[in-house]
Parts: sequence; C-alpha cells; structure tokens
Amino acid sequence: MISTATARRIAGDVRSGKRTAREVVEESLARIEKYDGEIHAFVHVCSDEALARADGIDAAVARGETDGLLLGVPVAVKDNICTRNIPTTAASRILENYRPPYDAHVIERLLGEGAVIVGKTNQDEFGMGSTSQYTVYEATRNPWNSGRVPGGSSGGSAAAVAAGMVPIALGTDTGGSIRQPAAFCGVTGLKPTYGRVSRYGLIAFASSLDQIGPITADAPDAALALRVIAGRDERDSTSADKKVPAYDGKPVSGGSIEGLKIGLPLEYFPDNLDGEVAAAVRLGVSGLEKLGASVVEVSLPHTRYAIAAYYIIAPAEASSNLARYDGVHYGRRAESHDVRSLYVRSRSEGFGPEVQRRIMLGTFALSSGYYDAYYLKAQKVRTLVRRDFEKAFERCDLIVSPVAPGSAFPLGKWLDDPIRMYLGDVFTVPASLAGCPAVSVPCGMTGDGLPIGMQVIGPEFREGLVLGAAAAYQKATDHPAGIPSEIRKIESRSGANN
Amino acid sequence: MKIDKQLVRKIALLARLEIPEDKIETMQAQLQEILSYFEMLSELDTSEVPPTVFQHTSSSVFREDCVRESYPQHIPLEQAPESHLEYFRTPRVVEEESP
Repeated sequence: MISTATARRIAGDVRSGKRTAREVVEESLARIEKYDGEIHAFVHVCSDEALARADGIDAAVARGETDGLLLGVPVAVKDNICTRNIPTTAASRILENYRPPYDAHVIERLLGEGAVIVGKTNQDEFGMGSTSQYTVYEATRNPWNSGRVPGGSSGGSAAAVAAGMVPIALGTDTGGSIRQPAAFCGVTGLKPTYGRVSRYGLIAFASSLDQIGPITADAPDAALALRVIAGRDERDSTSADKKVPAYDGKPVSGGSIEGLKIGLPLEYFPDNLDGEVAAAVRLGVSGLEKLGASVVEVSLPHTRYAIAAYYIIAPAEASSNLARYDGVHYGRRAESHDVRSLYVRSRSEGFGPEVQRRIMLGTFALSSGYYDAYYLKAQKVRTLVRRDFEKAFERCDLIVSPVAPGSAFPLGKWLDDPIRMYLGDVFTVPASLAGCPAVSVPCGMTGDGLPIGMQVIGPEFREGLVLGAAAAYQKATDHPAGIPSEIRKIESRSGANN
Repeated sequence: MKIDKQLVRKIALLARLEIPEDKIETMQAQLQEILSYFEMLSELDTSEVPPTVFQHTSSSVFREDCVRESYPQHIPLEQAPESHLEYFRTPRVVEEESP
C-alpha cells in the first residue's frame, strides 16, 4: 500500500535518523518503476545520481549535519528546468540529448536544502499546451483515469505527485500550466507572484509571464517548497528584491481564517460552466465560510478579453525566445548545405505542431504593420486586466474561482481545435496577466471520479495568505478522497501476483 | 483581418519555418480562426491606457560591468551539433570566389 508521507514528515524523519535518505529515495524510485509504465509522468529518471546523493546526505546526517529544510526529500523537476548534466529537453525534439552545463537557480536552492532530484517530468513542448500531449515523448495519463489527460503543461509533475511517486514536483506556469494540471490530478499547485522565484535556468516560453512553482500533496508542503525556491537572484533581473517570509502554510492569524473576505467574481461562474465544477467550487466557498471567512461578490469585467490578450502576448514572446534554436549552438541540427536551410530545416523538424503554430502567431503579431493592432493592443488590455484585480482586492482579501471550466477530458480531444483548447485557460490566464499568486486546491470529485480544483488568488506577494487559506481549507476537508484509481488498480494487480 | 496563403508563406519565411504546401491551408484556416477571435479586443477603447510590459520593473535593470568567470570554451562546444577546434561549425556562409 502506498503511504502519503509529506515532505515535512520525510525531512523530519531523515533529520532525526528515523529513516535514511536512501530508504526514502529507494521507495520513490520503486514507485516510479512500478507505476510509470502506465502513467508516463517521467521522461528521465536519474536513479544512480539520486541514490549516490541520498548516501551523501545519510553520511552528512551521521556526522551531525542535519540542516536542510528538504533533507532527503525526493523531488521531480519539469523538463524545461535546467539540471546540470541531466537531460533537459522541454519535451522538444529540437533539444534531444541536451545536457545543460549548469543548474537553474531553483535547483541550486533545492540541492542546498538537502533535496534529491529523482528525475525530469513530461510536459507540453516548451510549456505550450494544456494536456501534456504536445510532447515528443509518450503522453502522460491521468492517475485518476488513464483515458483522460492529466492537464498541462506541467502534467508530468502533477501526475507524479498524485501517484505518490514524489512529495514535491516543480512545475512552471505561464497561463495556468501549474494550476490546471494540479486541478485535473487532485493535487495542490502554486503559481507564485511574477518575480517571486528566479527564472534563471528556466527554458523561456513567455518571459513576462513564466513562473516556476511547486506541485505538492497539500498546501503546507507547497509553502515549504516555496520558502526554498523563492527570493532574489541577480541572474534574473525580474526576480523581486523582497524578503522571503518563512512560509509555513499555517492558517493565517493565529490558526484561523476568521474575518477573511473572500471575493467571488461573477465573471468566473458563467452559465456554461460545467455543473459539477460549479457545485464543487461553491461547496468549497461555503467550506471557507464555515471556517469564518465572509463572502462578497466582486467583478473582474475584462475577464472575457484575457484569453485574446494572452494568446497574442505569450506567442509573441515565444516567437522571439525560440529564435535561438537554430541548429548551430546546441540542440538538433538538420542536414543541410547552406546556413539558411540549416536554420529552416532544423526548426521545422525540431518543433512540434503547436509550437510552430504559436511561433507563426507570434511572428505575425510582432511583424511590421500589425504590431500596434495586436501586440501593443494586447499589452494595453493586460493593463486593464491588472487594474480589475487591483480594484477587486480593495474589496476582498482573496478571490476564489474554478481553476478550469471542466474536469480532465479524454486523451485526443480538441487536439486539432486550437481555439477550443485555448478557451480552457479562461480562469487561469487573468491572474497570470496580472502577475498575482494563485493556488489550485482540490475541492471535490465528479460523478465519474475525477478531481475538481478551486483556485485561490491573492494580491501580489501574498503567497502566505493564499497558502494559509488553502491549508485551513484542506485541514477541514478531505479532498480528493484516497488513492487515484489507476494506482489502486496497479497495486491490486501486483497484490494478486504476490 | 484576412489571412491568405501568401501571408502564411511570408510569416513562415520570417519565422524560419517551412510549412509544407499541403499544410498551408490548415495553417491558414487556424490562424484565421484565432485572429478572428482576437478581434474582440477592438471593442475596448485603450487610447488612454499604458501598456504593461513587465510586472514590477518599469525601467531597465543595470549591474556593474565587470569581468566575471565564464565557462571554458570546451563546455558550450560539447553541446554543439558540429564544432571545429574552438569554433561552432556551420555550412559555408560566403560564396566561393569564381576563378
């Protein structure tokens, strides 16, 4: 039977000598081995490196060196975050075999606190997608139903945590890529405030939106992980020079959320919202009320324009960021006799269809004659979306909404209908445009046994408040219920064989 | 905004991508649908609204311009698809002179 040890518990046990880091890491690797043939959460598992590091930690503990917030904690890392000498491909053919010569800032911080990297997780190529199917690898399956998507783009990270393979996985969120897969897989996912976490070593998608954050089983673990990875780093000039609080994930103000004002944005509960999602989120809100919060209606009037603004800004930045893949310096090179066709062929063979579509879209939006009408216009609308949030937070402390308009959908659905797919990001994109922190918390299940997520959005740099409310809610409820069905099936099969 | 095949080819050229002829039509239709969706933005009067470029930094961020340690040449070159001595190697860029 799988246990659900939190990162806090693991680090405490390793510190006190109750368990060794090797035992913990071996257990994590054994679960990956057992489940991942069906789930496909990982694209690379680094067992040897992880075990060697675990032994190093155990030796240090034996010497009395027990510092480290994440001592012996196995961590999975999304494949678009650079890990030294460990393959980092962003799930793209154009980066096949790429091994970065350096660690991302967040990896340095994790290692500095005693964490053990066990592998790299699957995603939509370069973070462009919301199902983890636009990958050069096998698509990740949802641990609650293998016929469904895990969400994306951080689908591998969310599935790995949901399946109990690791207690913490790093994801990245540009327009919802941490929150939506966390909701689809029934785990907790935090997109920090833009600038809270350094992007140094993150393979860029849209630089004014990208943010790294944790996916965990509960909010206190997300708080612990955030405490480790947050903070100023001079190698990312957009990382904020603000003190990092000792996020502990404890409910705010002396153990309760009493007196907090929760804003419910009417634009986030449209008539066509999935009935089960609407009901679960409303139940979640009344759960917060029972804990002492009060509810006010707020309005975010530019919500309906957010998708259009986002799908101009993000592809525009992507088309510029992805210009670096030219087949010359690193990554895949196509056979060619002249430089021009070397660029064109390397890129056309190396990028998948969704990435090419977004490069085309972004190149158009930035091209001469269209820049003002599209890119500049979208940046102005972004200002309006930001102002919506500023105004709403004058009336409330936190905003609560659904994460996605529905639950995990079948594999293959909407793959050839980009607009329909983009509209699925409608509730996550606005907080990204505004730069606000937002967490996805499980708040119920559909009749078909799929998790539903509730989004808690806070004002800039108020992660402590966001996670505190999420933790208070999780302490009072029990979502999602039990072990994901696909994992239970694998366990019962292996039980029958023994 | 009307997207025709000629414009699709032009954007592909700018983006250094090769869209096979039999895929041009699909790309044209998809871009057309997406751009039509974007048209809703014109409902908003933004003449007095400043653009948001980055979230917290309104101006450029500077640092001291000083010498720092960097990788020895062989490290980035190890990642190159093709290299020669301490250079990245590409196909010939300049034309050969005619004799």
